[in-house]
Amino acid sequence: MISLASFGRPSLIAALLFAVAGTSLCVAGAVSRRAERTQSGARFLVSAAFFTGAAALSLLGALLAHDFSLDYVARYTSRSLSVAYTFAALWGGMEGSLLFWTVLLTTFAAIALTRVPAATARLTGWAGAVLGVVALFFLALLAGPADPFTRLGAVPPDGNGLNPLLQSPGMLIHPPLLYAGFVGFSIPFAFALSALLTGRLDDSWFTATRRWTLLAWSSLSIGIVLGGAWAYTELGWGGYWAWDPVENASFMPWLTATAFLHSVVIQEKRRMFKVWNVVLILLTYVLAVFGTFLTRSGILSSIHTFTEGDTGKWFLPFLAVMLLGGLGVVATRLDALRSENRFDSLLSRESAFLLNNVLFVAAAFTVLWGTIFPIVNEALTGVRVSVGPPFYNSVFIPLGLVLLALTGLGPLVSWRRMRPGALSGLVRLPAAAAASVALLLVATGVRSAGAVAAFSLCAFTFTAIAAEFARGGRVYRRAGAPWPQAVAAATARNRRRYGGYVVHLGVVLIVIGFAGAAFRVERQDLLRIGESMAVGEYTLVYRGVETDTTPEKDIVQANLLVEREGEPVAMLRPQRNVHRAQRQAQSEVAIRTTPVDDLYVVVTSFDSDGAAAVRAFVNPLTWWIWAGAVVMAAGMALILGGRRAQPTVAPAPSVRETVAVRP
Amino acid sequence: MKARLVAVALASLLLVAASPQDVASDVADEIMSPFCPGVTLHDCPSGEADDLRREIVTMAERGMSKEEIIAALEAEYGPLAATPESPFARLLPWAAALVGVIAAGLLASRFAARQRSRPAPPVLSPAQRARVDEELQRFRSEA
Repeated sequence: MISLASFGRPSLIAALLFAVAGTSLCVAGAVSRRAERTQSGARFLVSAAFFTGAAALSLLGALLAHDFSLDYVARYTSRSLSVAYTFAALWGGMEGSLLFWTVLLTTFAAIALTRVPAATARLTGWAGAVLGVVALFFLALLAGPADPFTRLGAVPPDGNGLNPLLQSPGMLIHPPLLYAGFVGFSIPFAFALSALLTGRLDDSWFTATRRWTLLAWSSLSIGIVLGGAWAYTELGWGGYWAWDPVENASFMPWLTATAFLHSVVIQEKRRMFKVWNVVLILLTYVLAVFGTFLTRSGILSSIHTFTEGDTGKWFLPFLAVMLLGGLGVVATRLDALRSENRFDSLLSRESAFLLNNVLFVAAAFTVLWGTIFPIVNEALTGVRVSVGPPFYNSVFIPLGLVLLALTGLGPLVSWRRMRPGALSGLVRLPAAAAASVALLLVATGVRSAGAVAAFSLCAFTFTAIAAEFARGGRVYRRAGAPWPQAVAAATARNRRRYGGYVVHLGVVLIVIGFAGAAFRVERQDLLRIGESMAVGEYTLVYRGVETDTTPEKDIVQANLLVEREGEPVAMLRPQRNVHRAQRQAQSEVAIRTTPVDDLYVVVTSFDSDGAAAVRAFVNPLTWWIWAGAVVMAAGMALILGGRRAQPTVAPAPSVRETVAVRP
Repeated sequence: MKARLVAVALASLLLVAASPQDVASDVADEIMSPFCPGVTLHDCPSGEADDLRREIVTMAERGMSKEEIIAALEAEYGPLAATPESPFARLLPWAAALVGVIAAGLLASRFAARQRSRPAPPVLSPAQRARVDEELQRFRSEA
């Protein structure tokens, strides 16, 4: 009988051939400026997407059918693995994750190239060529060193199963969202390069790809937060971000993409920062691929890298070509990329955006430096060192606080120039809110300078944003609408602007959650049945141990009664499980979560007499991180739900500018 | 004398504040785990890390300072610092940020100065200003 897996490799080869043809035709179309060739090229790339999708379906079929004749299926699944996690195994291993990446890439390319607005049709040729070259690289990897359809000589009766840490609901959506983010940036990257190659350097390349950029950024943002949530609930160390190389790999492109999203507004409104914008999107995509290289090369140690195989070595030349090629093209177009306007004043929104951009890029550089420093140091001194949270936090906390202040201040500053007096009038209320919060915190005994600064700046930014909504709604309020309708009407009228404010509100909530970590309490103890331990305001009483068995694992569970001021408030049941297929022990965390604090308990081992090694944390305000992410997602939905962006013309001075320049 | 008293009071305050668990937690936060790649000892979920964290609490209970504990651990496991020892490596991100901010500031102020040296745009006359206000009022009522 022919198995589904039999179609995998032929589909990949077909996809590779179609990608070669599509890329060649797109190049031919771009060089000869013949649209029909470009269109044929795009159609070939659509076919490449179809066959890549067929290869992925073939692998998925093999996974679900437990076809252990495939090495990949045997390594990442087992008969006892649930259907959902068997599905997730598609991206649980290196080859499958590369195939999934390529499916997204070719699908996005097919959609972007066949739905190009008329205004940017001339960019399709080179954009198709760039996307085709990227797709060719990944398809060549899949057809060669990262083949997911390698057969085993002897078929094992069962597979190794998926890493128990990956068996979490978050892993069903976290990797796809991250990949969609990384791959999504390939579209603006390709159109930016196309704009450079064709010399059509107006704003059409980024207006045509704005939705792709926003979708990619949104997807990456949610993916990163879900990754944090996964780490929090699965890894059992009480935190959500460890500055692990894999986390850093997703964070670097997010930082430069965030800078790009802000910076592109300047080009749109003021025709400035053109070179900066193409360099930023170039960096964003290169960093996204660099992250993929880091996690697949084995050059950095992390608890969740794919270190098997030698696939990583192929990424370096590819990265070098993309980065140097891209920068080379930028260098040849410097004249055409000259800004059409200049800074009118240091006190202007342009300056605020510039500072925001410098800080975001500095933050990205910090992450990059901390991530590659172990490699650099080993190459120079022969000593392998590690760089951990103390290094990153020492830079990120101050940078983050300045960025938070800019989040509140930026929207208050007018374009072009503003009188200091006009700004101080607008800043008065947010500054008063910040000062009140600072005083309140100090008066209640808070001594952490970082926490006082963070909460005060959160109050500043929150009030500034709320005031912006109030200013927008006031117009409708005068017409008699009640406040909620007035604010809703203002928001509906300019979804992009107010959606951005909602995203900023989400950021404020997330920072509140981060700042809560300053008050974290942690205790570790070995408890015998009947004993108790205190952590913060809670007492944990060890009531007993239970055992259970499922097809995948043997479960040992501690029953811990949680008391607060002598009153029982919850029963937490952390577990220590042994996954039989992997012969691996893993702790399952128990969390009691409220907006005030999380009581987070993990059992790291059980003695033969039932004594449990318990680590307990009280994590104040962590709930707000997840709430902030939901608010951010709502803001992104608000922006993406708006009308499609059209190329804009240089704006007349805004109302506030007119007022601001009055003598 | 007064200064010495204040110093003693501050030192005793610090001693009161830092319990062995807190010292152990600080140590675990500042060193990398010898057992888990790329994570601090605090964040390492392995059983060996758990034992080592408990050993650190014991060391702190014996009265060892944070520095003494870290030195003892490095003698046993090799370099564990989570921050690069070289000042160059530690300060490079700050230097990059500073250079970026200064360069951006210089660039912006240079262009802003050029703009200032240009003839000022005509100031609105009271009549023009009144007309702008009127137009704004009309726009608001239409909105």
